[in-house]
Amino acid sequence: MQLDAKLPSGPLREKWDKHRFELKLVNPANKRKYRIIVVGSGLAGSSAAASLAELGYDVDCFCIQDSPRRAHSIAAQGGINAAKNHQNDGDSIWRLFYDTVKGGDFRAREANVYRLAQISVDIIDQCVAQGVPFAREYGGMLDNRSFGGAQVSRTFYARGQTGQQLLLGAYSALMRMVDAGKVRMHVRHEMLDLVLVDGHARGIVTRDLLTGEIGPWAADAVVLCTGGYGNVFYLSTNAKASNVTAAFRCYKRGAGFANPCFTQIHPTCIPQSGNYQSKLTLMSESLRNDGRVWVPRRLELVGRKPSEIPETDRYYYLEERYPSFGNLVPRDVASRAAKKVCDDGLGVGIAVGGRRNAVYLDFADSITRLGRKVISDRYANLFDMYERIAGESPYEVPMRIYPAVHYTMGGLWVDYNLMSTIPGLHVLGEANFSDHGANRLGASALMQGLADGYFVLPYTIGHYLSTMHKGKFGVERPEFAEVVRQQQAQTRRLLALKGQRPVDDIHRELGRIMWDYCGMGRNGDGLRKALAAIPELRERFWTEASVPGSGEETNPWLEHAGRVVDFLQFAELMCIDALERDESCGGHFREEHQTPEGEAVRDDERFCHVTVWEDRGDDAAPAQHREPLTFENVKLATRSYK
Amino acid sequence: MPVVPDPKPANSSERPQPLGSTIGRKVVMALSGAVLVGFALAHMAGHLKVYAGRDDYNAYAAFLQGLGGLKWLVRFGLLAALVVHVRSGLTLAARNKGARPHAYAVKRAQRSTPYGRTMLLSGLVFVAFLIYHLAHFTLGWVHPQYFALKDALGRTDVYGNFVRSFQSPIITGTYVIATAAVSMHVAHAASSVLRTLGISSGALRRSCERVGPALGVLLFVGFASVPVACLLDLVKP
Amino acid sequence: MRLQLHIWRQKNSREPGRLVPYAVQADEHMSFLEMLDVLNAELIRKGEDPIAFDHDCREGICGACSLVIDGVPHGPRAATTTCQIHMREFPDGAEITIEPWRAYAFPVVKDLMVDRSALDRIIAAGGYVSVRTGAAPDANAIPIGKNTAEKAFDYAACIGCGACVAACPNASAMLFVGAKVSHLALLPQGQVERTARASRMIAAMDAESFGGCSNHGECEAVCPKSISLDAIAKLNREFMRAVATGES
Repeated sequence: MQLDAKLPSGPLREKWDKHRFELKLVNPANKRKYRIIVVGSGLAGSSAAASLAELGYDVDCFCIQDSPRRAHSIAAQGGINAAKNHQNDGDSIWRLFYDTVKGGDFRAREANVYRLAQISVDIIDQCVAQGVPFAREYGGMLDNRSFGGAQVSRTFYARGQTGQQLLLGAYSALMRMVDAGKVRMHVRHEMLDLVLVDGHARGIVTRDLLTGEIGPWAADAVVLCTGGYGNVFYLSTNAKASNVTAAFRCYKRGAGFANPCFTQIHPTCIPQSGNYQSKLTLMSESLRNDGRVWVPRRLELVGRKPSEIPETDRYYYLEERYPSFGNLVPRDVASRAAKKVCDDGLGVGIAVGGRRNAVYLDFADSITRLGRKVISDRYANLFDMYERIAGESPYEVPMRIYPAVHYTMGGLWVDYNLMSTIPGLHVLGEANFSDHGANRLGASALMQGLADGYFVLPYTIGHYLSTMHKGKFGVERPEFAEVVRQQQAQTRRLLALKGQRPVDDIHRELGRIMWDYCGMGRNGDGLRKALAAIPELRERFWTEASVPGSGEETNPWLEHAGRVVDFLQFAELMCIDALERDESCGGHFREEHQTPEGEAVRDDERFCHVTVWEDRGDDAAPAQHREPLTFENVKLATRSYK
Repeated sequence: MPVVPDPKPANSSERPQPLGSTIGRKVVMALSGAVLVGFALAHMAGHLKVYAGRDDYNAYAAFLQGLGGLKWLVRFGLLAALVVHVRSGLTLAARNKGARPHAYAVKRAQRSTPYGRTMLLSGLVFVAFLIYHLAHFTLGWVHPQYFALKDALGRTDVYGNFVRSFQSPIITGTYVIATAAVSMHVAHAASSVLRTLGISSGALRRSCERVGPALGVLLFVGFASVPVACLLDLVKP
Repeated sequence: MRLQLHIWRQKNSREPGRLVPYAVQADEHMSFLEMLDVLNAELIRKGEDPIAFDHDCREGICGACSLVIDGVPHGPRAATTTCQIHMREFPDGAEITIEPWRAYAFPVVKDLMVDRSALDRIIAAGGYVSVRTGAAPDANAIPIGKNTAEKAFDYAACIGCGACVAACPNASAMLFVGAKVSHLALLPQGQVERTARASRMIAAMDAESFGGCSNHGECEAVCPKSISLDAIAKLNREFMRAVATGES
């Protein structure tokens, strides 16, 4: 596997310009002759499909939901960063670049991140022109807020529904192209596999989720925008249908998978209330501005009502351990601290499986200090949402929160052109690994998805088509029939499973293994345990699972079973990567590598690289490749939030 | 599945007629309905003149009869409004029914009113009544015994016809039921008209939503009081 | 808590369906959909056919979930999607009827799943501003008053779930269409295509065989995002504006 990132030479500021000039163009009259498959319709997929169609390409766009508007980008709450410096507070493209590289704990490519910061400015313009109702100031200008601990206010937002509004903007652009006949939208179609012809990605095989039909689609290039793999943990803030299948099938077909162990945990989610829990809901991090985090100080107080625990017996562990940042320490620090107190038995709330995994986020002091009205003005929506789910009013009882898996920084390896190691296969958004390094800054996911789709891929795909792409053909090539046959066989194999256990149950078991051993804190022993447990569970899947229904109808259980099969394999790759990366960085915390105060210790000597995994077949260990990371413009620094 | 007949699909080669769209038909219904409500109010005011006595009432009737061409213009105008209103209403009702071919086993109304949901029924009851009403007072086909009465000045004694007719509990009962139907119809319709015409929104919304029920009550009291007063002998022939 | 459910079962759009009784043991902290998950797990263990329903984000924003619970789309709690309803809303021993959205334009796919692609086709007919990627002016070049932006947002908050259609006695999509038309008609960016957009979207709505609006207000009452009936008044105004300017 060759890892040529194709990074342009020259000064950082000029790389993207220079590169765009060097990219080969496709003659405008020829664009309509190229068919491009876009898989996924979230921010990256919708924006890419719409922009490619506007350029004249012939686009087929696929999504698993009943409408492209339902992609999980819709659930992003906080906002989108852009280096507009509207607040005159010292922001710049360089500062956004620097913050992103540092936030990613120096495990991302400088050139990619710089390009992202450059493009961020155009994204806001584009979205506003589409009619995205961003928050405004009284004078009519766009409002900004500071987000995720940034020192400048560069986040544009639309109440707590920024992802929704940006996605609806991209969706409207997509539907405009559907109406123009330039995009064929295939809803309720799931990509099951990638089809390679002469080593190039030339099509996909899908299941029509209404009829069950497995069919091939040929194209001149394939663009994967299928999001992240947080659901490998079963419980996450991802939507229920979010999955790794499309990306993992591409990995099995030869695409390198980069840094799969890099996952982001969000510290403020509503905790699990029972074994039946199906997903976790994120509460905006802004709550930490006015809430104080605590647990009972002693084990004998555990299980008491919060009102029965006197002030002196409350352990404000963030304030005590991190006096200068207090409750506002970064996401990963806050998350690990919560896990630690709960692991120590001091957790609060409902005991699930004998464990109380929650801490209090208490607004009583703020309500006393600022008044109920001020708190309500700031957080009414969030408090209502919490009350709907948890059944308690945060005005009266401290909120219960616990960290949950939120975002995955790892993904298919791509070069500067967003092309994977398979020629023709481009990967955008959360599905690729490119820009966030080992951790993602708040309000940067939306920025990256839209940057890739609106402003990077439309340039770079032309270069592939005009320089590397060869031959025109359709699904009559035997490679398509072969992959269809393989997928039909896999479907038959799944439908033959008539065990006793619902697939959901096995998925939940996998999630527990991953959360315990490859979650917020990881160590060598735990990961080795997981690496023993996962293959064993995978074996049991094929004897215990039950998949109801047939393959010729709408069958959500068959869909889920297929996804869990891939999660069961992918989980192993994650653990291998986590074990291999013997350092702590960003969202990847190896307990062996921490300061006495519990801070992550990076090892730049040994691990300043991207780890890329190549599949060697089901029975062999994957091959490891490395893309070294060089930092010419920033100095590798160590975080400290003491 | 039942076929939803009307209007034409957007992508048919025929350019869709704006007034044939669902909203177009509603606007037509709203405007024609507003004309009919206007007439109902004027008509009600006329009825209330019964309380002023035979002389005033018959003079008013004679004045209306003496309008000649204008009278016929108004009559044709009202007829046209009625025909358009009923036709649009029936077309939309058929379409609305077709839009939900399979009814819910359980359906709990959240906001709609019983009178709002029975517009078709109250409308049809009213149309039936209207025919009877015209046969009664305009054409003299039913209850002709009172139709030929003349007053002391030789004018048609509409007052006498009116009061004597309503001394019959059956006639009064019929009128009160019909009045209730009209009032229920208007109670929903008047506010509905204001939204269909785009007026009922923002700051005006609450007031607009009160217009319908208020008009409904007004029409019921205004129209029902006279026959009931006749029946109870509060107004003498 | 013990619940008695009556759930609509239908194999596909061609075959007739019926209500089937089920008993399930639930927990008051469960969400409504988790209660159905538990029932489905039980059915799978017993080798019976589990119940299909649409769902995805389970946090009230994607618009996928869609059940009529005891005669009310999205169930008993105002301004809340089905996925955010929790079982504590119901008494122990409750008997609950669960049906799919019912409209000619929303054919049942299976059990409680329906096909709502009609809503996408209406958006495709004009629910956008025609701006090519790259052609946008500077974001602050057009000031938009805070109140205007907020109002536009209120309409833009629509999640496209179709509860308005499900609740309407006429299965009308006016609130959905009105929300999009109003959102874009309020903003300066939407002015150029304003009348054409309204006309095209109304024609598309009619072509999908939705019913007309009778101003009952059921849609507003069940809308999980509390979109106001003002959207419908505005849509009517936009229609008349299009007729008046001859651009219909």
